[in-house]
Amino acid sequence: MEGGGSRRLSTAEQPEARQAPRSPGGQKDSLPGGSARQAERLRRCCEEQWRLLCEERPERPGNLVKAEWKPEQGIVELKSPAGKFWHTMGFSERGKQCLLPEEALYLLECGSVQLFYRDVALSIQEAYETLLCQEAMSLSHYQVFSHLKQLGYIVLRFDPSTVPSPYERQLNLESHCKSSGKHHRKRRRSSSPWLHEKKHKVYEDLSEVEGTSSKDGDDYGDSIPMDEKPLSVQPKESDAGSAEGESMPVPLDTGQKDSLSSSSKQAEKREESSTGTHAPRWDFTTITFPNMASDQPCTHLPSPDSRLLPENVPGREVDAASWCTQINQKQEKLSRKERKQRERESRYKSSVNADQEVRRCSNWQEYKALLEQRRQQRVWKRPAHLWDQAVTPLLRPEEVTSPAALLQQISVLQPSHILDGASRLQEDPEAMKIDFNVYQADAVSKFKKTNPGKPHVRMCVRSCSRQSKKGGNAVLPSFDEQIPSLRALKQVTYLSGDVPLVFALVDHGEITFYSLKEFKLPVDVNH
Amino acid sequence: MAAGAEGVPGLCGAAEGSETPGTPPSPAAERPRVRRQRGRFLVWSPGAARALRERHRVWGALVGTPPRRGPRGGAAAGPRLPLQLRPEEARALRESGGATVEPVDEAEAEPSGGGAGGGARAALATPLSRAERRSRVFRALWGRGLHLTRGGKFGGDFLVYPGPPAQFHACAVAQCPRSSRAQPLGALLAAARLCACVRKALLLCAAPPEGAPSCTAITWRADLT
Repeated sequence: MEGGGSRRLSTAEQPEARQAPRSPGGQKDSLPGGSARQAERLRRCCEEQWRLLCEERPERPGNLVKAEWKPEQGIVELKSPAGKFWHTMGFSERGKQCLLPEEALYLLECGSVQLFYRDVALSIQEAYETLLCQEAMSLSHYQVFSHLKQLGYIVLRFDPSTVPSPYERQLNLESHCKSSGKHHRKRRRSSSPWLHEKKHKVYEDLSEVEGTSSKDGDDYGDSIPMDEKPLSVQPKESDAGSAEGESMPVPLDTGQKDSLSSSSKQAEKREESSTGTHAPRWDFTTITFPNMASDQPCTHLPSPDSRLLPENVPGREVDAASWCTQINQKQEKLSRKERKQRERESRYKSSVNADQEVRRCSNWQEYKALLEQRRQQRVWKRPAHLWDQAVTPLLRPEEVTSPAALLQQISVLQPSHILDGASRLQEDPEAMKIDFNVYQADAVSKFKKTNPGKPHVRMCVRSCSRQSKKGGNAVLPSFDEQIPSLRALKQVTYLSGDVPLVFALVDHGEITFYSLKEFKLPVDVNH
Repeated sequence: MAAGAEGVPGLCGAAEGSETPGTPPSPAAERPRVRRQRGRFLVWSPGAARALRERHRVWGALVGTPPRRGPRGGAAAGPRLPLQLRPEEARALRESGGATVEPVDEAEAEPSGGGAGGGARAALATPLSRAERRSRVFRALWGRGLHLTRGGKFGGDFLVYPGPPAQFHACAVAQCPRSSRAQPLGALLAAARLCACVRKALLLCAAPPEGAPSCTAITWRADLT
């Protein structure tokens, strides 16, 4: 009879619970002495090990969940309702509860599940040999999975499309999406219109609305014709692309009250639902956005190009002159608190647009030139004997604020981070793949399969194996030969986003875990 | 540091290249069976695992998922079957007739260099691969009656035990050459230092294409420091 799992014991036959032997026979010896005592200990030790090996895996027949292996889909389908493991393992497909092969195998080894294939119950040996034949889930991968599960972690397969891009992380999009399921309709009486964010990824730039406020009581997204009018060009993402990719790099106003002054140009942005995000295909240097602010004469909007519109959206030309006269009609009523705050601020704050020189600047380039020019005028005269020679000092006095900054400026070696330049690396099909997302064991009670959140670490399984595929021998680059290049490490760290990466090295059953740690050389600034 | 074979029990007094398989080859029907799947070697039967460990001195590693706590709340037990063997262990067993290796998929090709007998070995003049060298070193050390397990914990290829690993401490860490090029001295010192800290000897093993494998032990002379 093969295999240690083909017989099942009923609950009554299960062996008594006992302590796992730490080192059977006590302390280890260093040299074989040939004594009878040693021989006796050896015999006892072997007997103990033999007994452990032969021990059957206990199962509770009543609690066993039945499952069937489906080789064409590469998954296991449950035939009876799932047990407690469903909280952290498995997925639903077409109304049925399913398990991935590694999950099913692990549960089989634990004795929680009974696996069938063609109506025959599989032994553990048969399950190993049948389920672990895929590229994505080899024996090494399964051993890492099983090891982590035993420690109590929640282990899911890695999906590259769920990693937010750096831009999305910069916007803190993920956490916001989680907190607000619906968009906020609350209106605030403030000098800047509130930015409404929905759960979608594409931002659309509408007409810029100047002025201190829109009509009170009007809800955002109401039927102001100006908002609904399609502009001459709209940066819409119309194709259903993949979920991965950068969002449009349109500079976003976060819409916070104190970040905008009352008379600066404000942008209202509205999100539109779309199935995916893509790198923008519009050349914004050739696209002009009509400036509808009240001090601009443009009030006539031509009809948009019908090729750019979806089918059920008509476009028409509009003369906005009548509407422009209607805005800013109502007096803004400030509460006493707001008035007092304004008074306080006016003592030291001044609007940047009140500066005539700034108003003369017509674009950002001119404004920055103005700033630079002003900065130059503030600089004091430099000593000629220092600065007019061939060799000049490394620093100017105003550049340095602390000894640490001084050292930073004159240092030859700059600290580098693993992700420096990583975004510019090309996509490499030979690059290392991340295999698992690992979630903390103590988060089990709050864990939701549909929304697992950010993993604790991501796992990259490396093994030395020569797998002969049908096309020939593919020798996977293994840690046995050489450690991965810096380029490969940068690529895979970038792929992981801001979650730390751990490498699991599997050497024919022995697993070791390694990760790269950031290290900063200490800087001595105390003297 | 002193070099020589004195500090390692089991290695002194035996001529280089002698092999004591330990057990005569058993008839094919009784041999333990090893299943090979995609370069991995697994043993499933408890009897076979016991025979390999007790009679053939091949230890492998138990890689099965241990059961969780029993119904009466007992402590978790250790790992279980299957027993996973290294390629060199499986090859040594197959060549000495100690076990049969069965492929799981019929389409599996025979790994290169596995079936070559002694005659092919003498004809090889090309540099050997790392796996091939390691296999030869394993065969040589195992043939002397030593017990060998994985050496990954101590930065080597094998841990050398004078007796069963459950009962004895390892006496040496064996390192096989990574390539036929010269090794930097710093690497040698690092390995020797590590072994000195854990009170084991460092065994540097050589497996030249022509000639038998040989090894040199390095110990740190604490008395001269």
